[in-house]
Amino acid sequence: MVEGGPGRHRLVVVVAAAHDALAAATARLAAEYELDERRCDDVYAAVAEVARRQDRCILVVGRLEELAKEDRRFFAIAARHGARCCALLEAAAPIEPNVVPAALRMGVFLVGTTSEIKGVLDAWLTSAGCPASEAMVCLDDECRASEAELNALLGQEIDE
Amino acid sequence: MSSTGDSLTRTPGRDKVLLVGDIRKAFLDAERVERYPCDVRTNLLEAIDAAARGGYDAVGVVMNGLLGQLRPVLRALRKATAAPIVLLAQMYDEPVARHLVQSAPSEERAADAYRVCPMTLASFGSGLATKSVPTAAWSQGDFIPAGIEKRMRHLERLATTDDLTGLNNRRYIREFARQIIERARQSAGRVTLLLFDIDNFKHYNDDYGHATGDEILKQAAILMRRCCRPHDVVGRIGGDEFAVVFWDDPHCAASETARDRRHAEAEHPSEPVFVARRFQSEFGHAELNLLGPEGRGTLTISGALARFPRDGTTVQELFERADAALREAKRSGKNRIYLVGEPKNNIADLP
Repeated sequence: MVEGGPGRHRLVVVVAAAHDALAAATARLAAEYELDERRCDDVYAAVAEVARRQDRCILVVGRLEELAKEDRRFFAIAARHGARCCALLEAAAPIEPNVVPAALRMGVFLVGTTSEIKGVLDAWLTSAGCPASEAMVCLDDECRASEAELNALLGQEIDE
Repeated sequence: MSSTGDSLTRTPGRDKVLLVGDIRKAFLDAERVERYPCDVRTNLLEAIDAAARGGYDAVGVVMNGLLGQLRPVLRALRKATAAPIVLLAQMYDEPVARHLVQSAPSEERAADAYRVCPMTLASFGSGLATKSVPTAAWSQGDFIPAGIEKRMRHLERLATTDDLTGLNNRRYIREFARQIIERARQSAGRVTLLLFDIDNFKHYNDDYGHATGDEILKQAAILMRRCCRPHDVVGRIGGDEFAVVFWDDPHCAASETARDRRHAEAEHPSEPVFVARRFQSEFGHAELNLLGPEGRGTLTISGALARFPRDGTTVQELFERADAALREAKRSGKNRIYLVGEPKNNIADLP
């Protein structure tokens, strides 16, 4: 069992259907790292899970379009409970233009494939407790971009 | 219309109700919400978070506008809190609300109770008193004692129900049609009105007696209820005249496949036509012992189907158009159901 700082066990919450590849990949990684793992069908269930487990240090893994539902409020709620989010941004995902910058501003880890979640887990596990660390984008193990770099790539301005 | 709850006049931790969604769609006096001991969350995720943090005696969920989110939100609220969940349903949401409250064992129910909107906040609060929720603080508003509220609800039922058949009465049907047409106007939905009456009904009253006439009306009500989809609304609007409001239930539509929807659009009003035909057939073969062997199989109906928005854009217009087509069906020999705008087009002849 990996500890998450003083008295807070770490927990991975994956937001995906049971048969989803994302759920399988996350469950596999959680088992590999000996982390507790819970699966939620949707972002609504994930809020309940995060809110009920404030004694845990939580990483929520899900698709960006699911986690960004309801005006992206999940990211703020997760931050309020000291949880971090890892969002899978797939090429064909129906994402509104301002969602990515907003997610990054909330400290969300963005990944392009399920194989990149391992890098996020490593970064999360090396952090003490659940600090609101810098936003990070894992495009692959070798390439990480800052928010500013990502926005430059996307050609978008950050509206502060 | 959002409130954090901090400014509410109440005893912390007591009598608190969490209201979820757009409360303007549920309460006539939503602008007065700050007078009452409740917190409002319009964002669904914030609502679930608030519920999980506890301190609420009940959670009221405005169904209007939730569509596909309703079930996941209710599941999450159930997971987040042990407080009873009360659905705030528009008239057209009532069948879904009833199903969500009645289905499954109690521990798996999506919600614990439902109330039909619109209503006042005081009415909602005092209604909670019957479920062992302390509601003294609701008296800060237009307080209605629980006993009177219960009686009011009973009177409301009497005022909207036909006591002979148990169906909705004319008042209910017209108000329901008004609400559903208003929503259909906003969401490009479909509504079809069926008016029908029993051919030669006076003859059955005169020849067999009024008890037999009443029995025929009751059988018609039972058969039509059985033929309709659960969410269609059936009413007796006078004498031997009945009305059915067919509409697109978004809760059902959400589970339809794209192919189903395409088919439904192409064939509309295929469902009302199908239901009307089935009713016509079953009513004609109904076994009414009171009529004796010679009366069996003699019952027929005449009717008309009017569609929103094609045949009318208001309740009044739809009723007028359907009534005119119904009279035309009578003049043309009875035992037929016409589509408005297509006179002589008996639905029995449709492919």
